[in-house]
Amino acid sequence: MGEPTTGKIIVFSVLTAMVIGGGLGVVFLRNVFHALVAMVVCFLGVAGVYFSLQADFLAVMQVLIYVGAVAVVIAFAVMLTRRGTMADSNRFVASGLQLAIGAAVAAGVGVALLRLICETAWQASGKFPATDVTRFLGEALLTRLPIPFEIAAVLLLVALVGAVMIALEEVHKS
Amino acid sequence: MPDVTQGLGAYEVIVGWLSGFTPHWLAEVLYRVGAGLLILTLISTLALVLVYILRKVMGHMQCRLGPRVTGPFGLLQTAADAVKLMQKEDIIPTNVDRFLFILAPYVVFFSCGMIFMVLPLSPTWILNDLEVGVLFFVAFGSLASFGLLMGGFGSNNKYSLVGGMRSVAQVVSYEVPMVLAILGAVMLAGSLSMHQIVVAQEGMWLGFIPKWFIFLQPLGFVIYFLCGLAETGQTPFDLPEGESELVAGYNTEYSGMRFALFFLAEFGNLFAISAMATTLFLGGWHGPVFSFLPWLWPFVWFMAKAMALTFCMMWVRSTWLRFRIDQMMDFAWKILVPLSLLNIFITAGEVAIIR
Repeated sequence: MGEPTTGKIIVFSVLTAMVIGGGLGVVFLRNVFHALVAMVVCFLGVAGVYFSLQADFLAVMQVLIYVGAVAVVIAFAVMLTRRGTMADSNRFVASGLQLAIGAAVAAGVGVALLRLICETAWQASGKFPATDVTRFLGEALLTRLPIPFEIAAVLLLVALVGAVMIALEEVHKS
Repeated sequence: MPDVTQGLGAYEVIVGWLSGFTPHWLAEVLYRVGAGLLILTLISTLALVLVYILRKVMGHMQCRLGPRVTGPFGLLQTAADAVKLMQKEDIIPTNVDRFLFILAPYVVFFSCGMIFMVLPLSPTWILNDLEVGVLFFVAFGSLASFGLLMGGFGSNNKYSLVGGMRSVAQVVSYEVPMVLAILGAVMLAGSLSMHQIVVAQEGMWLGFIPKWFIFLQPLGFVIYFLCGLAETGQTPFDLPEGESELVAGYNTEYSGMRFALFFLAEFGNLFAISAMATTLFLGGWHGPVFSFLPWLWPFVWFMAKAMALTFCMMWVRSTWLRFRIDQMMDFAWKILVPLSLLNIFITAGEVAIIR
């Protein structure tokens, strides 16, 4: 990649602002649905960071899974909550004690992570990065790592069957 | 590794020319802004043309004449409509959630613009030939549903909310068979890049049958086409804005330019789905190239195929009835998903024979 150019620095600053701003929005916005939108902004910013690092597959997966699925599922969950006014639906913002505890936990995790990052001796590989990442990932999943792949598949199947069972119970009741 | 943002054939020329009198980084920025403006222009022009064609096609199919007063054959009707929409007062109802209400049309339009980035309109015209172009298309297609949900929720109106919820339910369900149908073409081409998929369809069998994937998997094409209709909320599946029960669904409260953005995105998506079907199953830009303006023909063939498919969508739109929501969900999960799984088995057999 070489030295960062002006353009790359600008792009990185904008994306970082999106990620951090989105994250702060999730915590501090009073309306839960607004917090959800802030979270989507954060996800899109992370996807942008992946794109700027040329990890296209990860970036697209970030959009597909987190924006297309996770955010939508959370939106459905928000619809099921019953709070008189949406304008004050994010309960944790108002309480100072909870904010203090949350800030302390976040600071602790942050310090621990920073320390790990700084102490680890990161190895820079001289190897040329894999050009066809998708093919590489697919072959690795189906040849060298079949067991995690199968476990994930079974887990999803169980979730699917469970969802159908719960839906069927509702149908029988009505 | 080549920079993937340099897909447009004229990149070297344009950036070289701009670098002559600006710093290099400004030339890069200007090139990208220009590419973005190109997409905006393309979507707007397509919407103008498609709305006119739609009204004419629907009119003639329903024994009417369609627009014919403004300009010759009514050609200026959609331009006049666009001017009217731009001049309208920007109405934001008092009780809406302003943040969501204002943001929603932009999210929907943004997703539509991102989709256009990976469409290979000709060998040189693909703004960004990503390695994972197909997935990119699916990912940003699903972002639109979140925008619709934002609009529906922000409108503070039960009809809008039900419309937005339906659109999300619809997109989430129909994404499954759509991705499985696309997988067939991806397996045959052995790549997720839109450019590579079209290149894989080059040539002829027996000298006269073009090597288009539709001949190898007609089932996949039909499933993709149906799911495409559902993803973009076209007529047999336009439940998010079903007028008979939901007034106008998610865009009930929208007017003026905000409504126009939804409208532009809808017609942009209509074309994008046809273009994607052309890329995956109809051989993309492949077709006879003549010696007169050889660089133009691929573009012409691509547009001709995509427009023919768009015409089919309009045909469906003017003749079919709307489904009911439960019928629609049954159709997705009980018919399309098993059929698309069957399609994958068939494709695997074909791949084994061909290679």
